[in-house]
Amino acid sequence: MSGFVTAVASALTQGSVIALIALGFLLIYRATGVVNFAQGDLVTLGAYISYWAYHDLELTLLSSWLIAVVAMFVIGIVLERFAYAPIRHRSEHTVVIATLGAALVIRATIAIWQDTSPKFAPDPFHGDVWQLAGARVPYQNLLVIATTVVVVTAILLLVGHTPFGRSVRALAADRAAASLVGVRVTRTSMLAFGLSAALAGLAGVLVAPTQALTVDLGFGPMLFAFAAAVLVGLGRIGAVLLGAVAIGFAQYVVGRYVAPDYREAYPFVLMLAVLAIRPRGLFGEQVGRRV
Amino acid sequence: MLRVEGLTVHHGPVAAVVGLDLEVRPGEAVALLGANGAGKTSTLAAISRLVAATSGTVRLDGRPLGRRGADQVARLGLLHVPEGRRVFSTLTVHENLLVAGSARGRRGGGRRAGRALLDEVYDLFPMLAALRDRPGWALSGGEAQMVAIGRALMGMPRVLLLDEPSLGLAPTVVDAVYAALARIRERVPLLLVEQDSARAFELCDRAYVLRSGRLALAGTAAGLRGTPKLVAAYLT
Repeated sequence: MSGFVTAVASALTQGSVIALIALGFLLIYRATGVVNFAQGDLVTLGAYISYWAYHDLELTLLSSWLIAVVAMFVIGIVLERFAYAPIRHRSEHTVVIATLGAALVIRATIAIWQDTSPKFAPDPFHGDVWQLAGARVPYQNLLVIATTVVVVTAILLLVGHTPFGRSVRALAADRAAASLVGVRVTRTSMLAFGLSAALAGLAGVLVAPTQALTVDLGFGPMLFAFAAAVLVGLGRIGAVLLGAVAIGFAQYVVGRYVAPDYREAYPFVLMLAVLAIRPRGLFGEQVGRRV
Repeated sequence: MLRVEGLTVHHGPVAAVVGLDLEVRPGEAVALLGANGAGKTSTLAAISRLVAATSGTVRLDGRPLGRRGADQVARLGLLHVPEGRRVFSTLTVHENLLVAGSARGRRGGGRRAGRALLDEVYDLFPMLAALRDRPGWALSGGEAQMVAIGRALMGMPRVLLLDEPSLGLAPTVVDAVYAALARIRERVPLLLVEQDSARAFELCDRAYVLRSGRLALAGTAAGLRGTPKLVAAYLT
């Protein structure tokens, strides 16, 4: 029983981190049509900025997290201006390669700035755990889950009920028609990159205390987040939550009982299995455009 | 109002429009006619910057559009209702109209202006009021056409470009769409691409007829209507 509870708690925590990253993927994808492969390194950068603000600027832990998230928002906009805007009329493949280039630049910058030796980000709960049905669930995990629930709700409201959200959805539905009705293409894509990077940064500061902080921190989670987004069809923002949690469960619940050595592969097995049955993903839009 | 000079548009190596001059004056409705593939849609798309022109200038109120993108051109008040309506399928009718308010840009933002425009659109197309919360993908062709036109009106157009608003619609629905266009043209200059020349002559003051991307005929609607054989020769 306690083993199962631990597994579920780990699955939900992992699902939350993945959801934050996948949401960032999706925001940029919906607003610009581009898959941003720098997302994982933005996660890492967010964690390093908070580490730096805490240790070198000697801020409180909470302010260091806030600063990191705000800084990541700005960095997201900078990324849009330098890595995306100049080439946005090129083919999507070109842009995707550019995001991979940006990822390498970010990673190298971190390595030069903070060196590559592992760091240990402070844990606000000093390793305290919550005893639940015999299982020991770190409070940091609960914080990750709770923060994700709040942030994801906020993003859903933002996309569902604000002018920015409508612009994103219009661009996702038909980019050309959106520009014909005057949707502010540039502003929307800047905001989407900014928000997406802020979400990545938030994922970074939340996940950093649970493991060693290295330049690879965000890379694995990004791949899982990509699997989650593809799994549900790179479509509705709400669906990606489900995808993220499914990936978390595949990895930590299924992975606990079935061939644990291979659990890192389970998210991708799940993704491939779903794509084999439904090539557009679980909730991929099957509705064709009327002509 | 709208002046196009020497417009040339290529699709790959093929010239779709060659050296076209045309003009829409204040208060005027102008038809752009021609057979399939004559370059009508390409002309509208190049004016609104949906596609890049090879050469030529487009001026709105005497000011060249320069290198502006489609969304910036829309915010200047040059609004294009594209071929095939292109209603946002995942947005509701109401959201389709709201998002199009972006095109007002700095020319008349304000929530109050937005609400007044919404009322106007629902007044012009009363059947849309009942469909407010219906998603775009669930609309019939006629409903989608009304949303597409309503969307353009939300941007307070100074000139409205319409690409085949009657295409694929039942005759009674076409009547409804044209009744609305007759009301719109009293306030907004129109440039109308249409296959159905009879409808176009009824609505418009003047017409240009394209053939293979070049201007073949131009004149008043009344004059061209008087020479049906000549016009028919260019439209088939």
